[in-house]
Amino acid sequence: MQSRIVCSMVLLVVVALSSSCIPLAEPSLTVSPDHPVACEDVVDVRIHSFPFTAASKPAILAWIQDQYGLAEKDISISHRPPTAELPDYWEWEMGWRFADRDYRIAFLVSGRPDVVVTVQWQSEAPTLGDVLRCLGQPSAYHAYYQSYPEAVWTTLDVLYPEKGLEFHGFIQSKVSYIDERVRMRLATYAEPGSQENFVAHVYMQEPGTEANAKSLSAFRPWPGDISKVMIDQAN
Amino acid sequence: MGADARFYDMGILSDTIGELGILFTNSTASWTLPEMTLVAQGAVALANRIGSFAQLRSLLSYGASFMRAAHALFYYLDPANDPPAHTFPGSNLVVFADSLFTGAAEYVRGTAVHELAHVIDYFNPFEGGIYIHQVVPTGTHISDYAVQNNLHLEYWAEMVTDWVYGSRYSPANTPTGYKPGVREALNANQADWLSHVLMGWGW
Repeated sequence: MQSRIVCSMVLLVVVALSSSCIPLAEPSLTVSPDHPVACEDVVDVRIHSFPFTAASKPAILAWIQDQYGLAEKDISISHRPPTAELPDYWEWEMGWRFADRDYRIAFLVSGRPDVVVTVQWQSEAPTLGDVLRCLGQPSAYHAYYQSYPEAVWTTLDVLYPEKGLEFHGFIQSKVSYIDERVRMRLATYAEPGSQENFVAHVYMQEPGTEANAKSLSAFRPWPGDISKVMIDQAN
Repeated sequence: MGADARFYDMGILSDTIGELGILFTNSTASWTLPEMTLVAQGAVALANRIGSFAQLRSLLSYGASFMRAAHALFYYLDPANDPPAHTFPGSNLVVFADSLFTGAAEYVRGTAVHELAHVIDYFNPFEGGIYIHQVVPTGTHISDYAVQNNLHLEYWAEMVTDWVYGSRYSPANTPTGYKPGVREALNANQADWLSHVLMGWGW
């Protein structure tokens, strides 16, 4: 039986000693809060002027060029026609990089005028503390252990539906508590509104459907105190 | 993606999975038929997506050893972490731990595909010693885990899993399916590239 186990010994030794797919111990929360991110870098106020309800390809392209001073060649545009396997997916995407952040706009799901703008920080993402300092208390959150094949990570989503904003962050280990140092690596902007409608936009759902209800049920009201954030078990 | 394979007894399962060169072994824990079934369903789904058992068997080169253990071996280095599964880097030895089987069925099946993708990567280098994971086309946010791409190994494995199961695979463990910037489907170029690599269409 052992003979069936074929190893490339050099690769095994070198990689095993340095592998990060081996879950080497890391501090539970690895971010220093010493350098707060400025609020204008936490929330991009340009996006408040985004035409969420009247979005068309030309209008979105013009908005990006106007707000970020970009030429059309600086904006990537991709189209994904609906397929049998993916009938409900964003048909169009436009992307660009600005100030070390990757911006993307995804729009049109199955003919619905859904639009989502995402901002992914390439470095120095804001922490949960930065988000709370700049935006105040969120209305809801979802903290959970996220099972991957070789690891369990801790993930946090915080919602500001009335501001049309969600922040998403994660820690590459299973921690027992959440604190203000968690890096929120992605901001998602959609049309502001009720929590139900906002979640439907962000997660490509129809409001009031079973899927929408399931997503909504995952969120808990913000407890008003980070130390009271509860982390849901995996699966 | 068709229906999951069904195995009516251990013998049928072992014969089927044996055609792929996969052997189930026990160590600090023992396989049960329901556990083996989920893992085997993942392997069969990968074979079906590739198009034939023979092609997957060829990609696996020396087959694979699926070892059942109470914990992944690296757990003993750091008990604070308990990996649900892992493939020994550079080998065809895959460990499946207790914690994996507390998860949803789709997650277990998807993890089997993910680990087999690692084995395929290790045993199918291109000319010049370039590994598949080194030339994988990125660009979609398949999962946070894929994009963090530890050791540059994980994007490939997550990509194969999404190719096989699509939105059925839920590594993100959220009840929400796809979500821009968090969990995205492969684009057409990535799917085409995967087809060429795994179906033997050449480059």
